[in-house]
Amino acid sequence: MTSTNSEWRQRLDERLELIERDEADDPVHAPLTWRSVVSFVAALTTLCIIGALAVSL
Amino acid sequence: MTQVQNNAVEQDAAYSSMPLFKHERIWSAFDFTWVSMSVAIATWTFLTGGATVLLVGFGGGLAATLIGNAVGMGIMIFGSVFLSQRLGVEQYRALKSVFGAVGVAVIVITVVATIEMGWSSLLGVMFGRGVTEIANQAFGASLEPNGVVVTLLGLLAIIAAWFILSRGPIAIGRLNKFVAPGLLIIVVLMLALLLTSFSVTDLLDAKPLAPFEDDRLNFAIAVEFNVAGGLAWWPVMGSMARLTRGPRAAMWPAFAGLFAGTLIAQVTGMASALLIGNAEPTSWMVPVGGPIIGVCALLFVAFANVTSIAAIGYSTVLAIKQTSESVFGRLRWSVLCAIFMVLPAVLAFFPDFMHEQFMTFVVLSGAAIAAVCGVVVADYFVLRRQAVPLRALYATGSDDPLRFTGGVNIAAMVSIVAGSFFYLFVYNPVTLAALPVFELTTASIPTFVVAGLVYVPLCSLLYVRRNLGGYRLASPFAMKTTEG
Repeated sequence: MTSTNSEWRQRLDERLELIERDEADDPVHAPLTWRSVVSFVAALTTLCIIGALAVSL
Repeated sequence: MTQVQNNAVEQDAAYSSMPLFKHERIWSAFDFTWVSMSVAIATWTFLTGGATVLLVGFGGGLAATLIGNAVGMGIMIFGSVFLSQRLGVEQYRALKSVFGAVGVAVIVITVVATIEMGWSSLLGVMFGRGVTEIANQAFGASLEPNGVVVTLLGLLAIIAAWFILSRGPIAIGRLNKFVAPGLLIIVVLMLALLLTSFSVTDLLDAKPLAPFEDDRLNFAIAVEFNVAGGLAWWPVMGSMARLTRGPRAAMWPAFAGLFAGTLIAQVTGMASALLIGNAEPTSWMVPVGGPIIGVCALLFVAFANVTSIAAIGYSTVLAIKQTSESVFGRLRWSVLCAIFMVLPAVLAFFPDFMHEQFMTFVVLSGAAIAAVCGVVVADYFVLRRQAVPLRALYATGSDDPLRFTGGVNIAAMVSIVAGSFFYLFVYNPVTLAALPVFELTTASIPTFVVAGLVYVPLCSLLYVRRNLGGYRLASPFAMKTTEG
């Protein structure tokens, strides 16, 4: 590493502050919604059903 | 910005675990799909295809690939992608919220490094076998597939991978820009060669290569093997997902890219194993494709093994460096990379062992990762409700709210051990003893569930109720509900 720990820590603090400020203006750190979870699991289940049908045929 | 500052930022991006700014999250859904597909089309996928049809025919193999990868990749995505994606933080830094700083180091060294060293040695052996095959076919040599030449060439591949790896991620990225599309072309070419040399009926009628007597057990083991194959992406996907801008832009592309890449390469591996008796393209590319196409393709596949070792090594060495700063922090990157290569180099002396134990190795790896994913999902989605205090991931000493017990979340470790033992109770890949439920649920799904079920009450008892582990911290992101 070219930087010392204190320089790294300073850059980290600056970065965290900017990220939090940025977040207040335009959120990017969004949580996953239940709707997305359900649609994703449904897609996976469909693949499993297709696989099960393929082997039973 | 001065040159020194620029260098520092480049170093941070390459070797550090700073959280990303919004403008640094550069991957669209399309980009991430392509990247995921590129990493999935790797040479080991031929082997997983070949191993699948040891037990089942092409139809069963296709079904096992669909079901196993849907389950394995689904669990893996919930256990890696969302946490890092939301925070914009490298995976092993983010996992501090689950395991504690020391706990992550324990997971990295005992689970991740062991698994990735195993894969690296296997790729080294594949390189050795590929080049000896070229020598045998092009120059009429008669080198043994498990002989000393394979070991020496395997060592050469490992040294070459170390050379690339020691130059950092930019060198690996530049090489992979050519290797991934090249492999995709070769996979399609191989499939076309196979289907022009054999009929689809030949493929569908081909018998599994080495099945057990019980057909249902054969299919269940094939599915379990593919579940483990899907889970095997856990060590790398979180850190890649942090470069995307929303959970949906991470979730679907991660799955679609990995699934499509695996399906294409694995189907080719299955077809070649069933039709020619060997999943590795090295054994038949020259006779089927002719000397020029065959040797060129073989050389490319052999080289792709080297870049795969380097790519695996990068994510693992970075994880070791970041999670064990006090132990390995002072070592130079190239030295750390050399340490990573020691075990693969030793294993290269036993090429037949690595090939014969490939299936057991993958399944046992999956057992551990399924339990880890169960704990991560229970912690992130159930106990923390997707609200992780970003600043706490970088806190140290007495200020660190994620200290748990001496830096280790005991509840997480106990749950992983409990989940892994439960896996062996449901299905033992060494003795092949299995409970009847294994044929219906696989062993990975119950392991994932059991690890999570053990974790929630235990962690509540040890940490949440005692206001330890930062579970009641107001996260700066807790109030955001916009979907990405």
